[in-house]
Amino acid sequence: MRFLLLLLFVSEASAQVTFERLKNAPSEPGSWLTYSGNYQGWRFSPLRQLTRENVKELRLAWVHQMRNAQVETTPLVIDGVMYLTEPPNDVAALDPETGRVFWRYRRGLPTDIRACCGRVNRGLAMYGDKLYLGTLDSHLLALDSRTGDIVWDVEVADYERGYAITGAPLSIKDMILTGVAGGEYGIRGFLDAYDAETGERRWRFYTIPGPGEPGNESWSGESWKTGGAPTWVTGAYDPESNLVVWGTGNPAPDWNGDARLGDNLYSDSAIALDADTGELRWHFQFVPHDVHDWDAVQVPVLVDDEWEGAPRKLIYWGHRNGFYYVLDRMTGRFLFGTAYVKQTWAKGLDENGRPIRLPGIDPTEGGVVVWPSALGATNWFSPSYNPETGLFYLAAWEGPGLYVKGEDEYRPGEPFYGGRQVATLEDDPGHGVIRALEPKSGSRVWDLTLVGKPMAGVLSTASRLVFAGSHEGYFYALDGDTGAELFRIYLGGDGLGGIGGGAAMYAAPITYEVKGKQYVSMSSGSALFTFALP
Amino acid sequence: MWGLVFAVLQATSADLDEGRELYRLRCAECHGGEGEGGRGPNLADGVFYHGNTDRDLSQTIRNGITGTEMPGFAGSELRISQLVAFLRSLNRAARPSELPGDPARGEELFRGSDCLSCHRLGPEGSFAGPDLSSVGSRRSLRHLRDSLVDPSRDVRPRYRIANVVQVSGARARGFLLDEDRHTVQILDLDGALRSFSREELANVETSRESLMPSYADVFDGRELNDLVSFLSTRRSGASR
Repeated sequence: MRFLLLLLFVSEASAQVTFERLKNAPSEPGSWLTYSGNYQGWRFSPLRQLTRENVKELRLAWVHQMRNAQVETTPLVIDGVMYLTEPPNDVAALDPETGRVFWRYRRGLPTDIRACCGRVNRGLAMYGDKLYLGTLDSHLLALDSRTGDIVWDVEVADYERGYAITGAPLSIKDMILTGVAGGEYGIRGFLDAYDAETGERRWRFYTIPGPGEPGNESWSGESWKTGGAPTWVTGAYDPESNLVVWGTGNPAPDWNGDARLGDNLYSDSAIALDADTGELRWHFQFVPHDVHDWDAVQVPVLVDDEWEGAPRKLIYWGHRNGFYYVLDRMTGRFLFGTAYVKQTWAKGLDENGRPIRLPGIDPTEGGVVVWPSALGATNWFSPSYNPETGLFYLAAWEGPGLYVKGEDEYRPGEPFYGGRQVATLEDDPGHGVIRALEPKSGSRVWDLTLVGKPMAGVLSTASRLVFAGSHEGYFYALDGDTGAELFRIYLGGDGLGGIGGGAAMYAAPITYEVKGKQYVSMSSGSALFTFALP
Repeated sequence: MWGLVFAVLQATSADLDEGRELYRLRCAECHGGEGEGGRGPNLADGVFYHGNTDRDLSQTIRNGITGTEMPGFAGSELRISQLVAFLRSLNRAARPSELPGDPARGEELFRGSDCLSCHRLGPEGSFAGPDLSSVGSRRSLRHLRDSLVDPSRDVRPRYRIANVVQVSGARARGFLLDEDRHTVQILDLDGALRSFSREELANVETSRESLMPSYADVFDGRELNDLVSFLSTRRSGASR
């Protein structure tokens, strides 16, 4: 026996994320385990140390600087370590108490990646002792959470055909789910699940059915091949019914639907898939045959509540098209919908939730003005559902946009818009708002009116606080019952480009606890700011 | 770009001398005096892992390589083209490095030993030593062999060991990831990332000794050559 016997390094002491932990995220409120904080998409924290009385005392604890702006990441905080992505596709592990860096992973990217709307990333998933990262060149990576070393690296799709990954993956059971972006490049969208250990693909659900599959007839000619319907924002999961609920994006080309006649399933839809097989259980299409780029890429909010006197599994959805929806989670059946911002494109929704379109709203060569704008009444930025206040919070835009129809011939990997849009009109710029809705009626409870249009998500806590950010770079703590401003700090970072025309904040806040102290983190510009009481 | 290519093609002997001197000052410490490699890969054999055109080489020199120890060099276009010209002169003279042993036998030795209890090799292995998944594109044959025989000869700062004693008497041992006046960060030997406030520490001792034992007396010369050959084949995509 000539081999040395060395120390054997065991990994039991390091972070181990299990499916049980993810399912029971609310039972460890000090952590932030998934993109939305829980599987149900709430972005809600049970922590109560920060209150409506003391939140005005918040102080800066530390700042984490990054190389680039347009930070859309949601950090994870697990077993005393914060993990976050930095644009474009770097990862850092930090001490959540001091911000000091443990390690950094930097990924080199091709120079010709296709990312319509910024070289961004929204975060990580964790399972076992591995972190999972989707990249702009459409790879899915597993990293060792202790070192940042690559465990495996698989190609999800060919980035040269317009695919990119910007969303945070979602860990379910022993699988890692990832969506793809590329609705502006004529991709054929899908949602994938990978074996967390090996990176082997378990299933793929194409968001555009192929020939012979139900729904393929909703695309004229060969348009299904280049129809978009990406899946670029992290969805939700209902462990009880083993149902993945995910939003899909716009059909391609965006503003000219002439070559893709029909409803264009399953673009702009909520899709519900069996988590084990990826089989479709149901779908609900918010915008059949969309020509306004109104993706359904909002985080689905899954809530069990009474509906018409009986307990029911529900989904709340504030959509980019200006309508707020309540769906039955088991069937996808439309239960209720109402406009939550000014909109000028639909008379309303019919009994099945299908919009009753008004005439003269489709894009024209000369341009047509419609409320809301193409960037939407809301967009990818996370809403929050709060079981204590019973309210649904979101960042929204009130304002019209100009929609111009054009011609585009599909070329692989090239922009495929079919026109253009202007999201903020000089003569009628509209405004932004942080809005609280009563979730069963969609009625407005309060507004924090902003000048610019926010692109930051919303967080709420059990102590009835709401944290939100503005286009200009203000970070707010609000009274969840009234919207009254309780704390405000200017984090700056504006004027740095991006699709918001220089917006400072693209991320969503999180909160966590270390050694008995509650922290709240928010990104602005090219930095992550973390606050706590003195 | 064409200007740069032209500059390289037109390199004079004076340019080559300038390039050689620049190389000696900026590159030789890692890549060896004649480009034979050291801590950094061989540059003389004409195998490059980040693009092999003059433009690629210039970009690599200018920007460094993300995720590696290779820094960027903020020199003028002329200075960089002189460096490229010097590298090309090495390439013209050199032949590809030959492996000193049998990589297949080396892999058997690698897997039959305890290497994977510390090192990572793709999806296998552990966290306590450097990731060897593509070590062949970063380290020369000589450096690989030195690391097996005398592991403490070149311990990267990331793998220096800290022994931490807390005021409470509790002890921790691990890789010193970072430190400043107020805090110390380690990856402990159980795999936990830990940050300490100096106020809670009684003592921190660091060591430049590698945790890895020498394999000089474990493997004979041929076996060492086989192991080095196996490790050298663990590479990312290369172009010649």
